[in-house]
Amino acid sequence: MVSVKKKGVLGDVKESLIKKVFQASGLLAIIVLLGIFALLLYTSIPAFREVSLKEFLTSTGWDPTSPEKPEYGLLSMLASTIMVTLGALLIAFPVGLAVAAYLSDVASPRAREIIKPVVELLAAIPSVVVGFIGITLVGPLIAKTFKLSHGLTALNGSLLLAVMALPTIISISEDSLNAVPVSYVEASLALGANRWQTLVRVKIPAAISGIIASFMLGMGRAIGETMTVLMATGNARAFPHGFLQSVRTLTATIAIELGEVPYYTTHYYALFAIGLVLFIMTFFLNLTADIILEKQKRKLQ
Amino acid sequence: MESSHIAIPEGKPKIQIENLSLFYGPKLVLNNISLVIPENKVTAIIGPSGCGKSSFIRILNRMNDLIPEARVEGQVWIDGENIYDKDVDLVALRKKVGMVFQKPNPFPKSIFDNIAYGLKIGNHRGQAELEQVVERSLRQAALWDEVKDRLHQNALKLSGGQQQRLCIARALAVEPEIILFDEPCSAIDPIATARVEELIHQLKKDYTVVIVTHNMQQAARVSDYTAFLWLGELIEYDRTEKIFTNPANKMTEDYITGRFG
Amino acid sequence: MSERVFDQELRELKGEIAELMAVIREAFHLTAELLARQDLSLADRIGELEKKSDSLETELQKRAATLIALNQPVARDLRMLLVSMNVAHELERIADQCLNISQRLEETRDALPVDWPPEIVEMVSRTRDLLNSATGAYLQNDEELASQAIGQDLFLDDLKSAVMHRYLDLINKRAVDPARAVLFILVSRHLEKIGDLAKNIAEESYYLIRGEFIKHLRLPDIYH
Repeated sequence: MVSVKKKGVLGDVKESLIKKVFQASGLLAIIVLLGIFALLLYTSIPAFREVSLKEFLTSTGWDPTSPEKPEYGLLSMLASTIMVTLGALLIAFPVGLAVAAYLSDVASPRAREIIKPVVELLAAIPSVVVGFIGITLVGPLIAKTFKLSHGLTALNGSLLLAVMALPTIISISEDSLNAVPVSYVEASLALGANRWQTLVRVKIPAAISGIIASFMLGMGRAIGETMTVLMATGNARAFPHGFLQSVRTLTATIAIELGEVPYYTTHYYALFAIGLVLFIMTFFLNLTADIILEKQKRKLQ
Repeated sequence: MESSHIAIPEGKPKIQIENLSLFYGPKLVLNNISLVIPENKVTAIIGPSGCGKSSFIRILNRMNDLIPEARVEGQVWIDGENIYDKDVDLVALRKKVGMVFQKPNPFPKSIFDNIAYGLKIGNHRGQAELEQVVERSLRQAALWDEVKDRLHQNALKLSGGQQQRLCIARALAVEPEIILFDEPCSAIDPIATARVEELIHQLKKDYTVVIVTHNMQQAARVSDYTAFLWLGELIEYDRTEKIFTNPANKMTEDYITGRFG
Repeated sequence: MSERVFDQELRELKGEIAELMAVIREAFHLTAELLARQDLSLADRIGELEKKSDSLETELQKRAATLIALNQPVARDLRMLLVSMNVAHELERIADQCLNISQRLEETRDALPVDWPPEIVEMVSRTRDLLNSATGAYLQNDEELASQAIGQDLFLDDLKSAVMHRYLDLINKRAVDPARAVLFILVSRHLEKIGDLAKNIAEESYYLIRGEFIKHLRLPDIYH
């Protein structure tokens, strides 16, 4: 007869040790995150000794180097960031969803084998290269189409960011569509629906949270992107009034100015405050997307 | 193997299957099956797992078309039309031949939208007519009293048995003539099973019912005719009372008395 | 095919039927002896056997009902159980008829001994044959024996009618001791009844074997 009692304590020790190691690595991620947040917060706060939070968030003028009256208004850049990002998503979302639907529903296994890696490869292109394409190809094209002196505009940034957000949107949307149980599809077809009706009325609604999440993750990617927008949008500080203007985003501002700013000045701290704003924005976008995805997973089980 | 025993049912034939074979790639799943399914009767398909009974039922609304490597030989006539002819409209076929699946599979939509689905994808109808059809279908499926106050609640909140009756109501809403049940009670509890069986009894007044089941008692309880499939062959087909009191074939007898399967 | 636990249970049930059949054959054998030797001391033994058949039958019915409830049998299994229940019931009633015969003899002990009419002598032997065929049909799944038994029953009807008509006639003509005449008529009726019950057993056995009812078939149908 086999005894079910424990034999010695060595096994117990080993098990608890392994458990602790895993716990520690999990904790590490949280500590790093909190550390970044704390650092940003710590380096941001001194900026508000001279600049009021209200001015920082609501004023449109940004001119920290002005000798007579330095301005620390974030609003123009915030608006530019949001505009370029939303523009990018306006393009990327329909295209991404269409590609995802094609991959999950229509494409032959062979086509899928080719297209999926290509889409993933898109994500691997360095943003400098994308920015370069913006300057040499997309920008001039925009200039020509709209008869502008140059093409380094918000539209250029949106187009390029759209391409960069596509892989995220496509792969997460496609995963969500594929996670829709076959039984839904069968039920729909058995009721006399065709494939298109099944996709639009059953699959997409069932996968909608995942699709929304892909949208938000794509947005996070676009907001945080620096190099491409820096190169492609012209970097004009004015408040944006249209997609055919040059704009300057939050990330571009940090990238441009941080290299030249004297340390421990209000300007220096203000740049960190911009970073903090970006951090909070992307953090909440990702968090919301995660919650939505988790909800969808539970719903479809 | 003893010779098979295939009876010709009395009454008007609804479905006539002639020399039907089904292949998945090179694999023969159903071998040269011929039988006649009578109108307004319940016909049960029984047999051990993997005998091809689910594949068989999916022949009748061409759900096997979803499997790329599936190939069908022979003819399946429904009301005198071969549903494997080239000019068959799959949408029309599937409206005429409804299906209820093994696991309850309501859409993650409201109860109302689940039932209305089949109508909405067809010709668009007015809200009043939709409401009428939803009520009629739910009543037919004996679910109306349980859900009439919460038609706009998510269907996934219903119990498993209720979900299955909802799926039956959803199938009824498009006014099919034939309803296929693919092991409809394998995922629900015995009480819910009894209700679904009761429902199947009611349905045969207006519909032709074909049910696949691995539960032989269920076949005995609900069906008028029973077909016994074994390894893709139709071994015996006869009136259910004949199959369950005095089957002609030794293999049928051994299967229904639980000697194998 | 593999042997089920249920097969074992069905075999045990059949064993009990066989035991009951042995009791009935013994009771009938004693009844025949009683008729031949008119030794009333045999009556007690027949009474005991009747009681035994009674309790055996009750046991059997309970066991069969349990097997049906627990196994939900179909096809041959179901027929086996239904038939066994009916056969047990018929067997028990045969024991009753044997007891009846012995009681008739006791009631008319003053008129004994008697010379049995030849029809009754023939009835005894034919009933024995019929009983043997019927029980054999069940025990050996023998369709042939079942058909035979069903045919034999018709002769018993004729013999009983012959006895009844002749002795009623003689009573009317006052040419016979009425007590004896009534005894002959009653015994012939009991024997005929036993034959009838044995025929039922044969019919049940036929149903068990073939899954079809043979009841109400006429003799020519059976032999053609």
